[in-house]
Amino acid sequence: MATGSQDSGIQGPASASEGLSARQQERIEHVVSLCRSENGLDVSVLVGDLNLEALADGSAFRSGAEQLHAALGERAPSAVLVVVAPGQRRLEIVTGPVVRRRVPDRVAALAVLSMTGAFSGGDLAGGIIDGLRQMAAAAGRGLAIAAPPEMAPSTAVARH
Amino acid sequence: MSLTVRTQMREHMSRALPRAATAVLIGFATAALTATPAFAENPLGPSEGADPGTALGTGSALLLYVAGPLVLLLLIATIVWLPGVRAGRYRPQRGWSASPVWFAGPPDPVAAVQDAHVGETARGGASGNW
Repeated sequence: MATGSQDSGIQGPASASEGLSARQQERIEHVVSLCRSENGLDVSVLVGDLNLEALADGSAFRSGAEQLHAALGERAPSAVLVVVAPGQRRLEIVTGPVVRRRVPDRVAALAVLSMTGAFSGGDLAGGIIDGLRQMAAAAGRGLAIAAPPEMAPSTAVARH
Repeated sequence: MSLTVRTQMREHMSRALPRAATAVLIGFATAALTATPAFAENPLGPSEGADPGTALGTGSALLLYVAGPLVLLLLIATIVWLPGVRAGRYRPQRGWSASPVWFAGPPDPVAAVQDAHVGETARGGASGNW
């Protein structure tokens, strides 16, 4: 399930009008769950601009993304975090030390290339889905990992 | 010897003339016979299109040749544009106003980000912009 938050390190401007449609979110969720079940790849995607001042190490986008990756907690070493900031036009893929063997930086860089290509053309959801599929294909098949507790519908945080 | 050759030639020539005449005659006869229906009177009266009918007025001509295509053009343009307007497509130059969405993120993103301490968990990856 997609979770959202209003403040802390992740924040968008006050007037929320645009955004991913419900259908697009559904498609991204589907691909994320496919990565888990088919490839055993713990993938997390954040779509939103980073409020860099609110982050403890708020100097650069990369360190902001690294803090978000650390926020995954126990999952972090084996998790791939994709941070897409549509307003800041920045994209960051952060991999943990365990998963880096399956998703090397070269693969992440290729995924970034195809994603930014789609983003500049205005296709946000399609670019995310393509990038995830690309990384999953490079990682190959793997043992399915269970859905994290927050993916259970009962604990889904309502989006603002 | 020479006399026999000459008589053969004469016989040959005398046969060639009627053959050519027959061929020409048959050719003309065939063409004339096949073309006969074209010259026949139409038993059903004047053929289609022979009567010009009433002329198209200026108003109806404009309606048919200008208004009609314009209406079609607008209709097709609306059908093409409407889904794009409704979807609120992402445009890189216009910025982003939606609140963040975290797919497969931590249960409580706010607390998780505040409590997170960057250690050795972020090892690799890639970055880009557009």
